[in-house]
Amino acid sequence: MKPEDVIRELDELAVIKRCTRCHAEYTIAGWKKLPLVGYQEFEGEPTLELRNCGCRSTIAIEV
Amino acid sequence: MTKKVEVTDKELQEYHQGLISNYWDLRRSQWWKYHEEIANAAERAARAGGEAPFEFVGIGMMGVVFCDPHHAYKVARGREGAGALAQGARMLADEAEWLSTASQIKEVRPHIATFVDWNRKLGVLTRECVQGRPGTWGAQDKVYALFNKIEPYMLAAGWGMPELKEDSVVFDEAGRGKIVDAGFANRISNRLTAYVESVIEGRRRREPEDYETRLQDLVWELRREISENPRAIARGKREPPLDERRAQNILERLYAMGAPRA
Repeated sequence: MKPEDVIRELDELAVIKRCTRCHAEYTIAGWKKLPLVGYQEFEGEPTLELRNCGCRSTIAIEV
Repeated sequence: MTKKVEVTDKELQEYHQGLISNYWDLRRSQWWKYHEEIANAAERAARAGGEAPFEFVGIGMMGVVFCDPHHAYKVARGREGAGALAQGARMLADEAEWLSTASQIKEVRPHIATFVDWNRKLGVLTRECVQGRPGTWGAQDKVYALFNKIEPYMLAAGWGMPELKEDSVVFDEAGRGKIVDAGFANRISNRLTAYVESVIEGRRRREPEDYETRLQDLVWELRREISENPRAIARGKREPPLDERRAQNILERLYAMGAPRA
């Protein structure tokens, strides 16, 4: 396996979000499967992508 | 004009000691900065039927917790009549309802602090005082196992689980854990629909009475449920299927009342 493939695989396995309410952990693929709530934009701040966790909590990552 | 009554520090201390048995521990603790609020909360716990002096157990985002020889009292934070109390008490009312439901399920009851009473006027939740030590990060596996054990029964009863925190569980000497903090649990499925319907029909108010219900919050919860309930069931969660037609009907009533659609 090439080094870039290893890095890509590790990226795919990396937890990018942990729900603070139920502690569920999401990789990029897992995150994308969650129902999208929408985007929140703030002037001069990173945009937030909001999705619903399986426990009904709405969680966000910066995009 | 209100007459100002001077109270010396000594008198104030003696008064607080009458309310709080471990007053001197509190005096030396990181919580001392909240001592006036804690003393006010202890007074409300006494008015809700508690027996002073109380043991001060702790203070969290939603409430101040005390124990007397009979029960524990979780008193909503903030001062009476203030908006902050209204918000805190609304969340505590939900916690009281979760504990009340949980206390009626025989498989769940041994694993939670049993519900005793909710005083909506004073914002005081009375429950079992569980003796032991709160969990730390080392107890994470045990806490997960406990939550997983209880979850199917609570889902079947129309409740999600509370926020999962290690210190929400108190362990006795034998290592048995009980959930004492049940904040942030969501009503799910038809329990949520029935709740929203009762709020909009005025049969029930979002507690306490001075808390203004925001229609868009109810819309948000219902819309989330319409999308999440089938997903959860598909994932194998033991949730009662939502009566979607009824939920959509209530959504339309909320829109007709002026709730925003987006």
